[in-house]
Amino acid sequence: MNRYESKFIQKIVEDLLHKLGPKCLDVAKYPVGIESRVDYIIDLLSIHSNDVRVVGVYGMPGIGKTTIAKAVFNQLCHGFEGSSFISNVKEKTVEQLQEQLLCDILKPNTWKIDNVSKGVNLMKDRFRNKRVLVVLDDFDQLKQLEALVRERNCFGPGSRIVITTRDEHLLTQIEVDGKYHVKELHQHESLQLFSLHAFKDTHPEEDYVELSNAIVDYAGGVPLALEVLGSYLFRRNISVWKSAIKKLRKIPNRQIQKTLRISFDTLDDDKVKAMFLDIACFFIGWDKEYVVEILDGRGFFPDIGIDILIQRSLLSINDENELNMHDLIRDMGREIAREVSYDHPGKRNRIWLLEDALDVLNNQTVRTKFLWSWTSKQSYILSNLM
Amino acid sequence: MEGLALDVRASTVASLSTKSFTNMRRLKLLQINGAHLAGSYKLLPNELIWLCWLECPMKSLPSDLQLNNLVVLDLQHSNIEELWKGTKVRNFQLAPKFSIMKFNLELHFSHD
Repeated sequence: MNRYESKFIQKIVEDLLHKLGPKCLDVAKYPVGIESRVDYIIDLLSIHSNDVRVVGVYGMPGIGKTTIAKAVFNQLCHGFEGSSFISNVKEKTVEQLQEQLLCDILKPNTWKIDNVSKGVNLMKDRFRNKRVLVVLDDFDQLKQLEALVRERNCFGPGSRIVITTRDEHLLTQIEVDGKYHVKELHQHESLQLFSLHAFKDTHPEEDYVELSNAIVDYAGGVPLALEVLGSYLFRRNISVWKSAIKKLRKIPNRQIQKTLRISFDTLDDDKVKAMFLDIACFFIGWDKEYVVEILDGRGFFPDIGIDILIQRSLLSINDENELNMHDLIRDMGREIAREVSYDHPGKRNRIWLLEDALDVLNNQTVRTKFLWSWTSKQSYILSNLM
Repeated sequence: MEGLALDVRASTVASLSTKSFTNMRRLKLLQINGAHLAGSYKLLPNELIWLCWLECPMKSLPSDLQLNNLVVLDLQHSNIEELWKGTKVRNFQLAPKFSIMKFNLELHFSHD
């Protein structure tokens, strides 16, 4: 087979994959409580009406908005002419988001957008007669949302758009047609999700029923907390459980970030902790093999370490082999990195914010000069003393 | 300090002085996307394991830049044409653990 044949075959495969439609998104290991919430959102979307509808899904971090949105997408995408699930938008420009939307829906073509209004016009031109499903996951900036959905007539009749956000007000600003508030899991759902992580079973083991109920109570129906606590306690003995409950008792108002932190604090290997902090500060969204090389160079044992972090639900790896961390877990990691010294970024081990980095770099220059003048002054005094 | 990441591509920062790095001898991870560096490159920490310099403005790396412990060098979307002047990319002296170089094209190195 020559090069041209193999290229030709590759092209056929790509076309076929495109015709087969979008591939399913990976939802959750244990999708407890998802179905009823998905049904409610699909209801709000009234799939059979011919207008363009936008539905907003909001709720606190860790409550499962992304998981629910993925499940909605999986369930509906095959009924549309084109579909796109846009996530991890924090560092992307508005033009990049428009490009992604165009590429997802019109693939295998690719698009290059250099300004927003060109993007909007292109969308109008290409989508006007297409019935599409678009999910915009975890948006918190009006500017980003407006560039994609301000003009409903960009999309063909019957199109549906789902937006997830922490900020309900954003949904009001964009004038959504319906809103869904994702609330905490019920007690029985919580216990089930926790047990699946802690025991790989829908119910706790007999000796652990009371302890499980206590932990579930502290997790406050937040799926992320249930998952992290359950993953931590998997196959641990009763004394570890008791000490976890003791730690949880000390956390005021059941603050979820502090709850998650127990999982970090109890990592017994400092190298795994350091690896977690490196990833939280620098390597989210990077290719796993790439980061493994770096962490290996750091003298860590990344393959084992990454496995431990995944088992603890502190880290995940997506279909593209990229390192992924829930926002709340990432924030917890960065908070720990920041705790070393709040006021003096220069004393910290890891710096990832531009302003802190510039602050440190400028101070270093200043400090070097100062030290130099101090030492020369000192040596001047010294030489005079002698 | 073990890790420092900054991306000046979307900021107004014109250039950084390599002097700023003199007190960071232990720095292992460094990302300076889009940055212009002024001053002697000897002042950069030589324990670096990761150097990520997307959109590096130079055509070749300065000859006084020492990267004896480097494992990953990432120079994507940069103007770099040759690593060090007169040295073809493939022939440059590798650190013992050097494994990935991301360039405008990607090269992987393997050690025996």
